[in-house]
Amino acid sequence: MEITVAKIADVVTLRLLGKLDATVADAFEEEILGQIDSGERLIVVDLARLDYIASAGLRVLAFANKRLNGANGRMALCSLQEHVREVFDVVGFLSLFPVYDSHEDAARSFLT
Amino acid sequence: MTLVDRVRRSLPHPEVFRPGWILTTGCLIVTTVLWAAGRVSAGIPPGFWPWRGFAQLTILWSVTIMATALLAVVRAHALQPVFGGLDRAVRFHKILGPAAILLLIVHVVFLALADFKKGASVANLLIPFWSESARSVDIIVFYVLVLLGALAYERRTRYEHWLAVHRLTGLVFLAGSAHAVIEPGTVADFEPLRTWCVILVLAGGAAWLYRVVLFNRFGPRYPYRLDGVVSRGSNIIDLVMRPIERRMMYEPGTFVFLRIPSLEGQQKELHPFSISSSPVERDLRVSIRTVGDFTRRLPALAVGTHLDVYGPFGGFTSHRFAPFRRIVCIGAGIGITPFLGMLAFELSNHDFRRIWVYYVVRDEKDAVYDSEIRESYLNAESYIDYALWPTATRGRITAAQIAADVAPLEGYAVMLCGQVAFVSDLVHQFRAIGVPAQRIITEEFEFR
Repeated sequence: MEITVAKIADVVTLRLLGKLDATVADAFEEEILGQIDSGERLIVVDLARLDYIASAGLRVLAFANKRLNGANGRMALCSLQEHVREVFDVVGFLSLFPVYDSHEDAARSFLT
Repeated sequence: MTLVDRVRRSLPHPEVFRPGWILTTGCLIVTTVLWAAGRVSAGIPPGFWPWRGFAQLTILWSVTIMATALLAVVRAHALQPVFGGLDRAVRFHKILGPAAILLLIVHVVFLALADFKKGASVANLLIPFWSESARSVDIIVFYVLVLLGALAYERRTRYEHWLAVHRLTGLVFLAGSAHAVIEPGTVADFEPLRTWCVILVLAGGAAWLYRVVLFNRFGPRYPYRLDGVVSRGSNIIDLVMRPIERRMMYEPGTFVFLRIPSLEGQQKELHPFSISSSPVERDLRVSIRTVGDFTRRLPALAVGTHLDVYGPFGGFTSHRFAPFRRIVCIGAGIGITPFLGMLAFELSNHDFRRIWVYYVVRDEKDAVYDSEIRESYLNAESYIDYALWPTATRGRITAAQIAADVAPLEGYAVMLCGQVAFVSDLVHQFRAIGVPAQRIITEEFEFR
């Protein structure tokens, strides 16, 4: 899996590419928690090119979201592929995270 | 309660429409229609109604139901889908068997009432060799069947003795049915009804023959050798077996019958055990509570012992319930074992599910699979939440507590495995909080 990080204004975007399973979950956890620990408070996770997510990846997202909320930050997800959205639905994460169709919508949501 | 709710509740439960029930109901309808046609064809003699007519119907229904009951437990893979797996088939058999015996008793009561109405001696019906006209063979068969039926529910007998009683019950019933088909009367006089009854008796007879006589030799048998006996504590052991020839393919959550040809005195006995390994593993593992005559001898088995594995059987496997993506698994005591196989399989499949696992034990020392679950399965691709539930400290687990854990998510299915009372109690609780019956999947750890 590849992770690319971009920052525009105060919004950090993590773009995930490939499969987020137990073998790469640690690397993703390190990246996203590193962003939070370095003071970033508005994070968009762009899943447009994420083909698969396993429970290990979901747990990282849930943990990071909890930590960010505890630090008065906000996290949003965007551009979920249909089968990834289904996984989020099964787990109940669609009510846990704000989910947007596009990156622009996700970034704009932080303005409100 | 709204009108819609009332209508919904008054409709038959979907379980009624399972193939096993459809088969039984269909056979009963055919029996009844052919009997009615036979009566119309032969004419109705005076004094036939009500008791003699009902007596004929009840004995025919009894034969029909017993034939289906024998088919249900035949252990043939081809028939498993009809009854939803052998575990469900056994439960089905437990309903049909007593129903057949009960109808037999009702039949005799109706005959007695018919004779009483006629002013004839009831003793001719109840006491063998009372007179020349007494149907002594039928009377003896009746008493033997009632006695065997009662013994079949005597729980203190050894498993093998109980099984022998069951086998004998089927045989005596079939012999009695065959006798009834041959005897002059409504059945023999109306060819379509007689043909139908012969089909029923032959089907039941073939099922009995395969199950009792031929299964050991011709059943789905896989030779394995024992690779190790792992003592888990709390009278629980794992038998790890390696295939000698081809391995048995199975679904997680199913069970097998084991036979150990070298076990002196019990070399012919077949005993059912849950598989606790994943089908992707080469070795087959069964987990066993050593509480019976047979199982207490298993820890002493030497590595390399030959075992015959018959199977797989059962429908207690989450993959048969693919539409249910949220599953609550509750295993009590040794009832956790089918879930071990399912959880192990979750490590290698991509059937993403939300799973909650509850391992219910009396106290923590009885939780012999707790570390295995924590260390091996929680990193599965499916999202698994696990809770150990020692009743000594947390009290009895309830459906309401589980529903609170799962909330706000809905639409989950519940899989339950454990002793009958535990499973039955939780089923009622889940039904009471609105979980539909078709989303409650159970396996009871009792084959008798």
